[in-house]
Amino acid sequence: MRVVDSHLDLAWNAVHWNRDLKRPVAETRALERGMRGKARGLGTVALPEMRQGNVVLCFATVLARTSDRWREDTMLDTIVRDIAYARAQGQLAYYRLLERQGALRQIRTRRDLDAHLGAWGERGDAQPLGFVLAMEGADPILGPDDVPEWWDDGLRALSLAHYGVSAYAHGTGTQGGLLPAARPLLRALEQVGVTLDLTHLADRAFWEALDAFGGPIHASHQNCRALVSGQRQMTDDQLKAVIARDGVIGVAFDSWMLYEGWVKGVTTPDVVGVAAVIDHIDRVCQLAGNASHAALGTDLDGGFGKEQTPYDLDTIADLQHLPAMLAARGYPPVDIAKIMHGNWIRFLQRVLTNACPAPLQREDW
Amino acid sequence: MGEGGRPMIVIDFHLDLGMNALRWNRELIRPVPDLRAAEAGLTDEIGRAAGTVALPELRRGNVALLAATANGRTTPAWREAPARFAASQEIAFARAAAHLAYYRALELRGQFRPIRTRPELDAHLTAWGARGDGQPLGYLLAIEGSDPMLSPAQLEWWWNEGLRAASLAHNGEGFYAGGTGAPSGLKAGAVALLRAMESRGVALDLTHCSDRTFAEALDHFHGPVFASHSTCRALVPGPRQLTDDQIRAIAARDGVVGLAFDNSMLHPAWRRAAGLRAEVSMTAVVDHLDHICQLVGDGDHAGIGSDLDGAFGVEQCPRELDTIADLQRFPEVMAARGYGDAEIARFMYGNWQQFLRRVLPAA
Repeated sequence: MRVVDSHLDLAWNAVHWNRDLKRPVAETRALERGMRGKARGLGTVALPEMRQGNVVLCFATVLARTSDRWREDTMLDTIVRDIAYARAQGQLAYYRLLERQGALRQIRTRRDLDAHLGAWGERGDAQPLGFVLAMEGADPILGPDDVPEWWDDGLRALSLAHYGVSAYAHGTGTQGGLLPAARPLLRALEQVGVTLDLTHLADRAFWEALDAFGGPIHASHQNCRALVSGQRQMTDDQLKAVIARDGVIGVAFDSWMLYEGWVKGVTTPDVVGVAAVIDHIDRVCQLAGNASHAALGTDLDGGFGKEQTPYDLDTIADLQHLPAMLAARGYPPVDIAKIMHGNWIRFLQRVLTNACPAPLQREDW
Repeated sequence: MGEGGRPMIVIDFHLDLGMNALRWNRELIRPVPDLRAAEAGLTDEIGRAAGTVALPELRRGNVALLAATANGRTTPAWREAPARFAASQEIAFARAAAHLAYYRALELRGQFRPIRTRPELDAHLTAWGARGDGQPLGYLLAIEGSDPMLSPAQLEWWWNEGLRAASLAHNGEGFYAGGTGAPSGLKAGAVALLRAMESRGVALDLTHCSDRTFAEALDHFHGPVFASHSTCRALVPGPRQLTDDQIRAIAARDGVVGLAFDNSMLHPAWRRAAGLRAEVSMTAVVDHLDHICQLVGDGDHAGIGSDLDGAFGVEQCPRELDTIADLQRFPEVMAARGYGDAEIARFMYGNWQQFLRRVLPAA
């Protein structure tokens, strides 16, 4: 069954982790054997496995942030936004290169989406993998005047913050709302038609963003606080608010967000399986009263690997086990299809327009 | 200072500003002392808390124009230093593109002005005048090591981004050619790349070539050649420095050799660990300069390619130099050696200016 995954950090993995995403997962694991650092040798995402997993479309991020912690973690943090901008542009250049090489296909318009889905069919043999450009944490956007250029580059989804406080809002692990720069940015995003990703916002920032932004909203990689405590998860009220605005919630495959009491680097992956993902999907469906708002936003390459994913998932290709598991929980085929891809496709059909410059041509580079 | 104590403009043909911003996390619009303070205690990269280059100091040094690199190296040994080496050409390209984007950000901030054509060069130097007050720094986009160029077919894209100079390799084996210390010469794809550069008008930087690569590249490339940051092997043995024959070959093609202010290339006994900074003076740079002039018989083929932010810091610079602003002390060192004002002006900027007027397209 076709899969739409609303959160992968592919370019960050390539540019900053040095992962050649054209190689199968097993090769990259072997290359990384012996390297120090979290998740080295344990990755679960590469283009061949996405193809195996029939991932017709993903939201692929550019990810760079500005933080006082740049001295500790230079893979993510920069000292100043000019550098965050440059890193994000480098990641964008990676996507565009893969697009020119025919490995990826950027979806910028409703027309792109329909054509891609038509070309992919049920299995996508030899088709480029589709991606919607997303930004995780808005630090690379220097101001609202930059928004049209990002739009032209295909940016269609954006979250204001990541971990910590961004230039625009309080994010995960902090307490607070929007910062003054957020409102002009939100206005500019609404104007061009970027959908606002509410994942990673601190609670107050979540509600303030919801008030300040009138465009489409979603949560790209997000689980339920009612099942796993912690501010990274959304309360039922927050989930209901996303649902009320016809948003979609992509459920994440990060064990830390799936298992109550998970301690990063300590808890071992055997304690939680993909069944827990279905618990979160089910919670969203129960809150919505239907299966039209729950979907997948795996985050499987979000700075962790097999040490922090459900024990019964080896690579992203194993998303194909999900339909049978959903069926075993009593989900009918029509709902399973919505969760696996239909909800995101419907959401994108609503959000995307046809106003866009011509797409990149394939190049023999 | 130049004639009558006036500040003299500088053209520096080799700085890795983008790499310093992206990999060292250096906020280059802040002055050098701020950057050093921010890095106190860090040991993750070479030269931490000891940098010598930032935009305010470039301005104080009256550096009207610089060649700024985009770089990204691939090597099978990338695991040893994943931030330094890319695992694939695609990744090297993305890293170089990030350098490019940083330069664009500096343009948006009014700090940088791209120089892509002869009229842009002339207009910039006119606007800069003697001191450049309020002017953006001019920059010419260069590639150090061609690994980020996916193929000759991609050169057109780079040209449109402003690329006007490129070297084939860096230290060790590159994708297209053997670099410093490597045994190889040109590799598959190199000749086609050189042809594309020649027909598009990108100048070939012969710095960091292996000796075989140097000879073979000269045979296959008929466009303008130069060496952005080199010194003389006759004075400092080692594959990183140019032989007398190589210097003559560059001069014979009317190229310029940019002299690096890197002690490891200036002093035969230099060892980083030994801390010989006190023993290396800018007079050593003049030794190399003088050697080139004697060799080719004129003062038209040497300039500055300081490399001052090339993965080292103040510990590896001549002792008179604390920041790049101190390039302004170089004229007096040359004058003390008997060089006249007109020659000094050629070394500080004139030779590069003339070279660029020849190399850059008319529009």
